[in-house]
Amino acid sequence: MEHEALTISDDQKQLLDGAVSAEVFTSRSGAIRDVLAAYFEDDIERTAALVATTDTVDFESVITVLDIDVEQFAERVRALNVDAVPDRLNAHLDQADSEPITGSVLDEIEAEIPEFEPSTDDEGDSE
Amino acid sequence: MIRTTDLDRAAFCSGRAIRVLLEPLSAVPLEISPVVLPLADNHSVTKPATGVADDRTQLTRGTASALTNNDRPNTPQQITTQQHSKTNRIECTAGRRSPGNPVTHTTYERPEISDHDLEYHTMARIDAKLPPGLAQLLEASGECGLFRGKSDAARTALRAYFDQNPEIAMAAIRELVSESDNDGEGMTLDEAVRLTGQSPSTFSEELRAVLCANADPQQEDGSNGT
Repeated sequence: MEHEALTISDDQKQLLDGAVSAEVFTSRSGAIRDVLAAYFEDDIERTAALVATTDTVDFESVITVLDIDVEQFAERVRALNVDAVPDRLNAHLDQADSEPITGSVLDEIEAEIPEFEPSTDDEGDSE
Repeated sequence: MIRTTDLDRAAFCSGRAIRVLLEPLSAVPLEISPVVLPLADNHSVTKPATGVADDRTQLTRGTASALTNNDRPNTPQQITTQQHSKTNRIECTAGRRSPGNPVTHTTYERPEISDHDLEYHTMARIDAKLPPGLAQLLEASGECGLFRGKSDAARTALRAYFDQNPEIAMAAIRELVSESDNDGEGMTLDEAVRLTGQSPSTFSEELRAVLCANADPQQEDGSNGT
């Protein structure tokens, strides 16, 4: 987990706090995580472009936190930058061009990535 | 080389015909001075001296050049007057609520908030713990120029989220209303409309009644709720 200090509008903070009180989110951090995840999931093309064009964004870290079709996402990233996609997934995609997709390689990759679980120690969020 | 000796500079720059220059020149400087001073004062107020409103500075420059190219004013005070009016128009589009301005009081949309609007909105600082993938995407969004920074990206994401999920914004408002009762400070319908970006008609009767009751006495006649 990485700490990020963000400046949002007072109105947005009020809405977040209200949503936390309404138990829509478990904490303000959890709310920010869900909101950002939803935002990046909404536009896969944009997210793929970020992964493909920015060295600091790791493909496997991204597919861990986003609820997206990994293979479809990999295809889009690959179309922009083959190097950004892991070799195993690249090999699988190359093979998939001529053979039916089995998904076994994706399962293997995803199995190796530790599943992200939101922490519950967010009560210390600063105001 | 053209000699300019004995030529009145103010009159020459005014672009008036030569024959006009032969007229008594006393009226020209007397007309300029009383107009320029108040406009200069106003200009210093509306000028983005904070350095925040870069867009507006560029627009003002562009406006000035457009005026110079297409409709060059004849006198210095006319230039100042037109620049002043343009500055006002730009200021109105920057999100500030100004009475009588048709741009800002016709919609219930939540105001767009960017780094350029910081001076118009109260901002809050929050800490968030993000997994590496989200933190990287957030950082990259700022680095690649998609947003002005991580906070700008977060604000945009929040705005999009509550726009797409108005029921969550409404649930948040319900909680805020119930909490505000405990604090003794009631949330008003105006505030709720601003926060959710929803029309008052979308609020339930029950919630709207509470919000109207919390409003100022002069607003309780229903003028703000319909």
